[in-house]
Amino acid sequence: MNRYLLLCLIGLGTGLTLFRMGTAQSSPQSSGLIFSHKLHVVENEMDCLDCHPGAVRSEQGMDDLFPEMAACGDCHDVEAEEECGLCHQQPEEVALIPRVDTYNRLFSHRQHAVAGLACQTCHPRVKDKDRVTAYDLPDMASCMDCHDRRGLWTDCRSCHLPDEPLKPVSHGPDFEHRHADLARLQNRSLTAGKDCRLCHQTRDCQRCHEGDNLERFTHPLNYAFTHALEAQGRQKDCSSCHRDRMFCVDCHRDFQVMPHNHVAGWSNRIPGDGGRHRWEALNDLEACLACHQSNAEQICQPCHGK
Amino acid sequence: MRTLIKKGLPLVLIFIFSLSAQVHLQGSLQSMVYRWQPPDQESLTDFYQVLQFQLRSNALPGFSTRGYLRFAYRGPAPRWEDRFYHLYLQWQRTDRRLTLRLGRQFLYAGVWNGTFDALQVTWQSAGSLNLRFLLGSRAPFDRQWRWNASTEGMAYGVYLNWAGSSRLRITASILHQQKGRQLLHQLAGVGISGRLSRYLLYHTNLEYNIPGKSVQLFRHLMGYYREPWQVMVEWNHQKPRIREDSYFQIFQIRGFDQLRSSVGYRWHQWLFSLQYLRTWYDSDITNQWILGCSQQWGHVGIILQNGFGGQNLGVYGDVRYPLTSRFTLRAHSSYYNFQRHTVAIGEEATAYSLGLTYRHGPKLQLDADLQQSLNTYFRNDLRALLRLFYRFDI
Repeated sequence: MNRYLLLCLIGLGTGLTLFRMGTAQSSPQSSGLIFSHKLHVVENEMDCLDCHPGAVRSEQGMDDLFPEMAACGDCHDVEAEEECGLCHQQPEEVALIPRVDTYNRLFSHRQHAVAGLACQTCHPRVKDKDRVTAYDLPDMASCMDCHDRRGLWTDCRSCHLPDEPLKPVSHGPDFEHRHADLARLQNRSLTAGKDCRLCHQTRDCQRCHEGDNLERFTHPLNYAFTHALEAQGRQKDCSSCHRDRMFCVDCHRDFQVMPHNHVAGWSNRIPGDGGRHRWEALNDLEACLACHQSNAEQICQPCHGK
Repeated sequence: MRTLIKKGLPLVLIFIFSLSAQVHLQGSLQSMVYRWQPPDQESLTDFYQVLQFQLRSNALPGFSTRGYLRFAYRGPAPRWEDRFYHLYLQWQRTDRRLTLRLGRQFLYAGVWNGTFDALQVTWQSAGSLNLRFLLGSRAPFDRQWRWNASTEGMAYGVYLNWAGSSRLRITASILHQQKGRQLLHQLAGVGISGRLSRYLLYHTNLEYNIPGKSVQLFRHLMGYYREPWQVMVEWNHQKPRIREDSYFQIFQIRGFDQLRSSVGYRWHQWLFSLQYLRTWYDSDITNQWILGCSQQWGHVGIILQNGFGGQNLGVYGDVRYPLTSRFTLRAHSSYYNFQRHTVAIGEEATAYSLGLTYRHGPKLQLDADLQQSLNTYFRNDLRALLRLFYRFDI
């Protein structure tokens, strides 16, 4: 049975991987287009807008700003069949350059042009390209850096719509636990080249670690009943947020709730026995500290004289 | 009156700073009303006001003031409470190599962990070295605006981060906390992380309790991230953090060991995951399995736990679905069937929440939530949250 299950899992994994490989997308290079930005922009001193006139008017990221062949016709004889090979590696199988599909829907080229930004500010390597290669698109870090330097908005919603999938691949199933290490180490190689601050600000840390949790984002409703189980399951480390243990005693005192394990048999004065509290303290002294940090001398000293 | 002046002082300073010419003030305001009913009491309506801001002036290049404050009028005998999560003045050299930060700040670097009222100096070399110094005191746990050295003593520390390459990054840090002549904490930490190959990552972290002469925390993890797979295995040893002046120092302080593993598989927009945790205590063991499935607009999970602490079977789900570009529907539900190890009866806890977010442009957002819980103590605990979020840029 176990062997059958293992074979099924391997089969499923292989199938899904092959399926993914089969759906790989085409690239600009695969279009077979022959084009040198360097020849046009540097050597012939053409302006970007000569071929991409729509860029200064474009209000949204989905606008297609690639020139149509008619634009080439301003300088080249695009009707002459013998010249097809000038731009197309395989004139008989002309393929379009695949559309940029990673665009930001809210991005306005016009807004940036009006602000006085040159095309090279965001696409610095384009003018030196002497053949068709991968797109030279700015990464989010450059956008954020520029916005930050100019004191502009850097909130996610300034540029992204609510339905955009923004969660990076590194934010996987164990990320709630692992994000602490990544934040502490600030190792971009562990976060797909991204720094936490690319998307998050200190207030985002504090919202979860110190906030009022009114939206029940950090702990769900009913957490008051299940928190002991979670604490002892150690899926999360309570002390990463609740270093100040007064937090625990405040709540237990305010609502006059004794911990469930403080029942008959919890403690006794039999030497070497101590009741259940001894066993629990050996396993999890932090649970004792949670409430008795400030009154340990009164509670513990009568039996455990210092 | 004196208290009012003392607490209002930072805001006055901010106001004076803002009077200088060419000020750029950016931030957000959040107003929240929360209605709920504590056990055996009348319904309460709490009010929360949150202010987050960043203030810069062209007249003082490199300087900025950043703050995150919360004021609340809440509780059975309502009164104003304030929390200063962070509020500091920062100066940064134009080349960003040197940064000075003075005031309340949230730190998370090496063994520095938490909120401090301190001066932090950061120096970034032209290469890959980042060096930080800290001098101050831990902020009060209620985050009120007061100097807390009488309780938490003074703290100082050094943090060093060297990023040689993606294959190796080393961090080293130390934090010393002392009240008068009494040592409270002295922790040193080393972290090594990087890539062994394009897809294989590692991270080792060690924290050492110097006065206790013992390992406070040791963590080693290996991760394999190659689309569509994510695999992680971690070993963790941890001891309770106990101050040197604590009465609890008289006891045997034992830690726990934990094996933690997770596997994730991404299929189109779906991420399927399985986590397994096994925790060894002094004389008991806890096991946890968490099976999850998430999409960009939602997540469902099943959690199964047994061992020390008790048993638990839980199911939970979370949805954030954009109805239109302005409206997002939010829903959450969880059901836990659990039995604590000291109570030989099974209990159930169910929770629901339903919310709607309305965005009016990038600056204004309105959220409304209804939250309901049903458990051993409350047949029906219904709560409501109304939140107004406003971003400003002056």
